[in-house]
Amino acid sequence: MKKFIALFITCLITQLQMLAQETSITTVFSLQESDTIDIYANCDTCLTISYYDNKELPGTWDVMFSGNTEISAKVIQTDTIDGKIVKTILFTPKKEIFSSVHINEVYVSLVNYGVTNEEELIFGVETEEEREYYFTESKKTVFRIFPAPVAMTQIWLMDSLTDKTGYIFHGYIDDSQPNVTIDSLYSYNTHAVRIPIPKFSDDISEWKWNVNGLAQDTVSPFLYEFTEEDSDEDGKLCIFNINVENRLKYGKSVFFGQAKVKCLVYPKPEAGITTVVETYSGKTDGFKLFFNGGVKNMWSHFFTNSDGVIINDEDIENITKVVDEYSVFSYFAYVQNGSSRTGYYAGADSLYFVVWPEPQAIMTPQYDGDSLIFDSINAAYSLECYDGDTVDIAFLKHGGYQGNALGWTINIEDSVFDVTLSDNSYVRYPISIPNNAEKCDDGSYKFTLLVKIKNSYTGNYNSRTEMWYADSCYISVKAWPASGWDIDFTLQDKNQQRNMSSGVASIRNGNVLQMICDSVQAAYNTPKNTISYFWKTNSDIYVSSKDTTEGIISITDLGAMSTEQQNINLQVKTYKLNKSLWTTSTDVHKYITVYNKPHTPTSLLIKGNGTSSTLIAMSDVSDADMMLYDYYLVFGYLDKQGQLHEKAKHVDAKENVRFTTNFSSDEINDVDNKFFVYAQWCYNDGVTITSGKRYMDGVDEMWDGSDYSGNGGTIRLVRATEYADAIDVNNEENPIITTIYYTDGTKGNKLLKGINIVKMGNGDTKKILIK
Amino acid sequence: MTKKGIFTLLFITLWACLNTAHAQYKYYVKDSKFAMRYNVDLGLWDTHSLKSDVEGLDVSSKHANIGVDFGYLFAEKGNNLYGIFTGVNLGNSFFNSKLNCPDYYFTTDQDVDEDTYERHYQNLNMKQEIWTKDITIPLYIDMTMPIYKRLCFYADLGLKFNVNIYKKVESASGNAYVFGVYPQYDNMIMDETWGFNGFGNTVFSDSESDNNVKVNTLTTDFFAGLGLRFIHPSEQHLVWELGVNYSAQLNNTFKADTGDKLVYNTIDTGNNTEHMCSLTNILNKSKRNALLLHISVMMKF
Repeated sequence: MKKFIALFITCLITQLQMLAQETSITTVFSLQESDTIDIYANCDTCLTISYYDNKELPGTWDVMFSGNTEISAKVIQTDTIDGKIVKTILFTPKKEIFSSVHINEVYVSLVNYGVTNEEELIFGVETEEEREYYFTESKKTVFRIFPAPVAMTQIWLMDSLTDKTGYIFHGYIDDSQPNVTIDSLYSYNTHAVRIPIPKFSDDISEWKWNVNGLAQDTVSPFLYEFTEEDSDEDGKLCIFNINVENRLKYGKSVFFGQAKVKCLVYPKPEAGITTVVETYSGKTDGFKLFFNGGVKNMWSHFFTNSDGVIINDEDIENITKVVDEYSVFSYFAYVQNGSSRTGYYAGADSLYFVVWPEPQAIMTPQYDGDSLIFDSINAAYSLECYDGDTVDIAFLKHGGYQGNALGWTINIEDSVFDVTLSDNSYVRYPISIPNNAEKCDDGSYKFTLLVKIKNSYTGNYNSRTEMWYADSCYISVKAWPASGWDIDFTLQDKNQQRNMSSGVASIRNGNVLQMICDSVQAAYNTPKNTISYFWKTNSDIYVSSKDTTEGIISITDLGAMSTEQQNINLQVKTYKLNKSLWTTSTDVHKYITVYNKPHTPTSLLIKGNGTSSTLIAMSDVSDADMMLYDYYLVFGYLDKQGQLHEKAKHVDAKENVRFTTNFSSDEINDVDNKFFVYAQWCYNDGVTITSGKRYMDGVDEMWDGSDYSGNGGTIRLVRATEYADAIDVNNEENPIITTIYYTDGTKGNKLLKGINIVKMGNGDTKKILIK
Repeated sequence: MTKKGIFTLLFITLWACLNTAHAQYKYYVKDSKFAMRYNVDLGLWDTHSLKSDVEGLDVSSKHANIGVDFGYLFAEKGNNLYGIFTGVNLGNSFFNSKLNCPDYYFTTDQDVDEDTYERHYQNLNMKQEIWTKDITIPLYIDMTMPIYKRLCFYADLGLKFNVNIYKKVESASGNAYVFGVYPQYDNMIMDETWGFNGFGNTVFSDSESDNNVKVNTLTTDFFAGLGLRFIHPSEQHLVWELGVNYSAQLNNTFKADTGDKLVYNTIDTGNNTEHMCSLTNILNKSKRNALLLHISVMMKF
């Protein structure tokens, strides 16, 4: 067992010793590259090898090479860095043009040996038997040698103005830095230098290039477009430095190439001329050539007429032609710039001098069929019309430009109305009263229209607008306003000659309602128009040419003491002289309450031989209906002094009376007393409506004694409780009631609804019932 | 059964009894040639049958008469069984009439303005008391049927002729609401509010009565009577009688005059006067139909 353990420990120590020796060797030798290195055939490559000299070995350290012979290696530098010995090895392929990739295996060996002589260690020298090696370690490095890269370029010049277009340089770019000089070219947006970079197509390297330090895309060619800043009329030098770099992806070889392109740049040449000039007969106009840019002092030009005769610049710029009809004169122009170095910029064009006959125009406005002939320009005309009317202004015109560009136009009030006239046409101008128009006393407005006519042309060269002919006239307008006028109307009860403009508008059924439009304003009195007033009640429509219309108002419900609210509507329309509708006003309306009226008694009689002085009213309403419909009958007479005497009777179930004896025989027999009777209804709202007035010898149906005040303070609302006690009550004009006692015994000064006991002026007391 | 029927039935029964008793009893009255009979007749119930075309008229009547009759007696075997009588009586009749008419109207020209109009008496109420008096001359046959010694039946049958000697509305009253309707003025109604023609509430009294009772001066009654006679015990010539008479008048007491107005007015210089007529003037039938209590004493000689 002990032996076994001793053997085990011995083996273990031995292994540890062996391991310690190998580690020491490994750490002192390293090659700082991968095992495979790509290089170009024309490029050297350096590697380094390093190791520690721990002095354990007695021999001399050295690096040795062996392997392929297409590449040579030598240590070109030895350094000691941090105790480590670093040797730089230069590998140099043989200078041969390879057309394909060559593989070379190179073994780099680090040896320690005892040297007996100073013999160099050279590859291929069989000296191993003569040396005592203490340490040997080798590493294999594979070199793939690629053919050397080649960069080529093509420099293009693109010049649309000249014939200098195409290759101006085509060749290799290498370290010889070729210079490419372009004599001259114009700065123009189509002038450009195009530098494509063809390259060796492979996938083992990476290409980079720049122009004037600006990195370029390896796919697209370099394109430079000159600008005006790049140019000068004396020529401005523009240089392009091209730098190319190619680097192997898995190697250390780098290719550099350079080229230089020089350009002399002039400004872009420009020349122009209006090729078509249009003017009127007798007017001077012409063609004017202009040019700039290009090569300084290298411009030349000339003009010819249609016969090829050279014309100088002054003559071509001042041409005068007198024609009677549309005519066209032809010319020719040529211009050139440049030289054989720069190439030539040249242009030629045909010129046309178009002459129109002299324009003339006569305006002929028309209004409502009345021709307002403008027999000469610059005249003033007067026009009387309505706001919103149109006036047609036609022209007798000839000569002048009649093309499509603009031609004849008319302008009214400085662009307020500006239209183009076609042949034999007219313009229809809507009259609109301006804000600054002068208002006349008759409601019209005065203002002036300035009408201008011109013949002009808008050329397409430099967007020039030329006006060659213009004239004007004035139209003095007297216009009647058509808008903004309000209407209003008042209502009158013709039977009562009562104006209903204020207060409650009420009227008796069957009365004549006068409808008076009182504020048509300007539309009124217009001399040439007519006005129609459209009145509408609930049941009727009245159309009148006058501002006052009357009609009999009627209600549909003819029941006793019925009322109806009616809407009185007015719309005013004005018509022109030609009967066409001019304006329509806004509807205005008013409401009116129509009260049905009681039947007028059919006759008034003196009973029998008159002994009893009894007056009897006859009616087409039965006594029963009179009672049912709450009729009042008011008897009375008007004496020769004009004093009115009235007595009221209420026809009810208890006092079925159509008679009165309230008048003495003297009163009745007085032929100067004109007796009458009328019926009356007392509405709940206090309004009393009467019938017409019946006289003994006739009837006055128009008479209306209705009272719309609603206060009921007249005889018509008072009925004595007994026939014999009938009294007159008129508190406003002739107070005959001195004291009023109410049913509770208190005093008052107003008659209340119900029973009132009143003390009369003569001392008597009466009992009256207010209903 | 009417009064006439009752009396006829009694008369037939009595007549049969008389014929039977005549053979059985001896009448103790000496034979006489003449007799004087003092009569008092008092009417039982209404004594007249009164009818009128005017609705609302209600008339009640009373009647009585008193008088003396003279008779010639025919003797038969010592008994005076038959006799013929006549005499003089005074008849009194009383009529109490009431009328209630909702609307009594007629056309009149009694208007202050000499208009013709329809005068209405609305709710006309009238009340009148009327007396009439007649002289009655009876002519009848008397028959006697002995029943028992001093007691006998008697029966009379004959006519009475009445001559009116008195007629008067003793008392009159009434009221109505009066108004006028004037057709010529579309039937306009004029009432007290007008103040003329006496329109309005009107009260009637004796002063408004026209007292124009119209009678038939001569009237005739059919007459029949029966009863009992008692011979006075101490004086055989004196006979007491108690019986009933039935009198049916053959012609009307009052003369009907449909042209008369119950009430009316007259205008004199604007003043209105109301008039009230006798209600008997509107009786179409006014005949006596009376059952009377008869009391008399007869002396024979």
